[in-house]
Amino acid sequence: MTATIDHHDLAATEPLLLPERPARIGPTSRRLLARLVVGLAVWFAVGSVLIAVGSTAWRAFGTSMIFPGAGFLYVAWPVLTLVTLVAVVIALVLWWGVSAHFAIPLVWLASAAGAALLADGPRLVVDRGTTWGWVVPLAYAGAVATLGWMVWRIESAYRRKAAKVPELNEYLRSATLPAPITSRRAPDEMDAELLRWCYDFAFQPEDGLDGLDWGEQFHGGTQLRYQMNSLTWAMSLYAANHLPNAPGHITRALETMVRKHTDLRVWKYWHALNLIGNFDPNPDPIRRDNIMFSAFLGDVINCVEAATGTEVFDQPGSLEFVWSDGRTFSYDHHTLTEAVRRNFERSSLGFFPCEPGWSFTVCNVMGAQALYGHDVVHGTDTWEQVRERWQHTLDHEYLTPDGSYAHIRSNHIGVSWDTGEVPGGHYFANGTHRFADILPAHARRAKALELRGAAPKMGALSSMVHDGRLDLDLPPELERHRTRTSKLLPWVKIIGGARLVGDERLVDAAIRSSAEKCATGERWPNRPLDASASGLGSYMIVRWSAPLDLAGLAMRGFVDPVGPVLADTAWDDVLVTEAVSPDGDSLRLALQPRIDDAAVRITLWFGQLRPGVAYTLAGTGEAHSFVAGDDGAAAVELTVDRTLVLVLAEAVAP
Amino acid sequence: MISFRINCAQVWVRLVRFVCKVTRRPQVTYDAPPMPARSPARSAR
Repeated sequence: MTATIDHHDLAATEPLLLPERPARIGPTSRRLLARLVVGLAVWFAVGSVLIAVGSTAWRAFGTSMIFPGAGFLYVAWPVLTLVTLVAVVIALVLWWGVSAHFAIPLVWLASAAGAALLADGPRLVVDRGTTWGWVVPLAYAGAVATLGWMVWRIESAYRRKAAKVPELNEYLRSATLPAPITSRRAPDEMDAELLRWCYDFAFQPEDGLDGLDWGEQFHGGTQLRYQMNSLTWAMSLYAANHLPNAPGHITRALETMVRKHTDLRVWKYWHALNLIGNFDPNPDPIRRDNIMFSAFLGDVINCVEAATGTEVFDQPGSLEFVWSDGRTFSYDHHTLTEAVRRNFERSSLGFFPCEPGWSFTVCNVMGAQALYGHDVVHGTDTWEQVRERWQHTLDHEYLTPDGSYAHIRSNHIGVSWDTGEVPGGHYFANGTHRFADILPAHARRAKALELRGAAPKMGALSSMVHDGRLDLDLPPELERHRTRTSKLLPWVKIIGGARLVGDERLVDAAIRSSAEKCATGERWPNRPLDASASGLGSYMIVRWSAPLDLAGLAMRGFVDPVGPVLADTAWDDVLVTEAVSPDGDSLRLALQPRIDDAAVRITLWFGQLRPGVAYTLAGTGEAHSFVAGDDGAAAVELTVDRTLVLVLAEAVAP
Repeated sequence: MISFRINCAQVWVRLVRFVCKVTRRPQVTYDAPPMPARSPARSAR
């Protein structure tokens, strides 16, 4: 048998309801916010004293302390007030973007100092030394209005969400979840093209990374790490779902993919982030924070190990990160996992940062997955060591009344906001497993809440399926880096949504139609579908997520293939797109020439046969009969000149 | 929870676009740049 379905049967879990009286702010965030409020109170008090008793210069300084840039207006330099406000916005973005925690205080302080220096200086259109006294009350009004507006938005959002709780709990009590799709779809020509692309990418010469989108590495949607993650996850799914009985070649490809994560170009960004955000010049990408790299890589290795059984990354020093000056940071699967666990323990918030000072829910879910998956494949208990505290942080710091979680939280001052990365700055679940492995009851609640929005849309789309196709011309969507659009992205959402609602017919139709509508006819390093590398990775993940999806794979761990296996062949000459044993006795194989129209004569070496038993290999190609050797092995020569679908089975006695 | 109305992700992309324009570098390219040059080796960890 090829894929064991021990699925996250979420429907069997007791419903987890929402708190009837949710707290506005969690205890740690409250403490951090209180610290911020005290700091601001002192700051405003000092500003007020300077306004009350200071000279003109000190009054200008103090006015800017009450509202950034207001001091410039006080000394009749309104242009500089506008410049300050623009600078505050840029500082805010840099605070989030590169962890420049000093940016806003620096701009604020500079606006105060600048106003003080200009107090007795020249003016643009008014007389030297002019001051506008009416600015002082305006500065106070601006400060009160800004803070009041923020508090009002927080409170109104809280009340709006809290009012929904009774209705949502009523719904959650009776919500039924669709069964996950667990039937395996036989790979088609587009699957073969995508697999070919993955192999070409993995085995490109000189440790290359051609085929990715290159750009800045912080937030712009061109982060190499996420592109590499998604491609490796997708290939792991293919290995587990379609090639469990021919693991040789794809295992080597996946090992190569993991090693490519150690390419300096993939993790070099961390040095700058660590320096700016932590004032720490250490470029080691695993040791501290940077959960968006360490945890994601840990989860990637979990998936690769669960799909293939490889143990190469369990060896000490198997993951070597070499910095530009030759410093080498050596890790392996175990020490990487331990670093993630240690960072969880070190964090007072309970979640630890991606960019220094910013803890994202999605990345910390990936961190939990990294621990959980390691435990599954290695029998450790790292997740249990942090689970209680982690869950407390999720439930008490990040949860909002309607069951959604804040996307981001500052480890320093406890604030969150809608950064524009995800709609509304909240989601019901995230990470590649959406809580299915780490917290099944949370997964069930999240899925039920997501279904409220998705089910009607998917139902409407499902009614449009005809002849196994979804004949829609979907408008292209902007890629995250916003330099181009992709026709594939809306299809990723439809296939993912159809999987969420368990509509297999819609999944199959969307897979078929998306391939027809988005195919480019190109091959690596270009892409066979119209999308960025990240988009392509996401598409392959949703396309290849049955019978096992990423959560199912992580929860299952590695299982030795049962039934006959294709142990070896001329992998460079032939593309094996399917090798599964549906019954544990036979083997279904699909192969095609690696190069188009190149008929190749190859040998298939089989293993795990019943010694001394007669077998036949038959299908769309030549038929062969043979008897397995005493070691359960046998070899068959055949010509592959087109796509062949063959079945290896015990010969039926005449 | 503090809530602002500034779409940081969008502003970020615009900042990147601006910097790329000033430095005359493409914002997104499909050609992998070479590995960063190595400086003289320091003591290994």
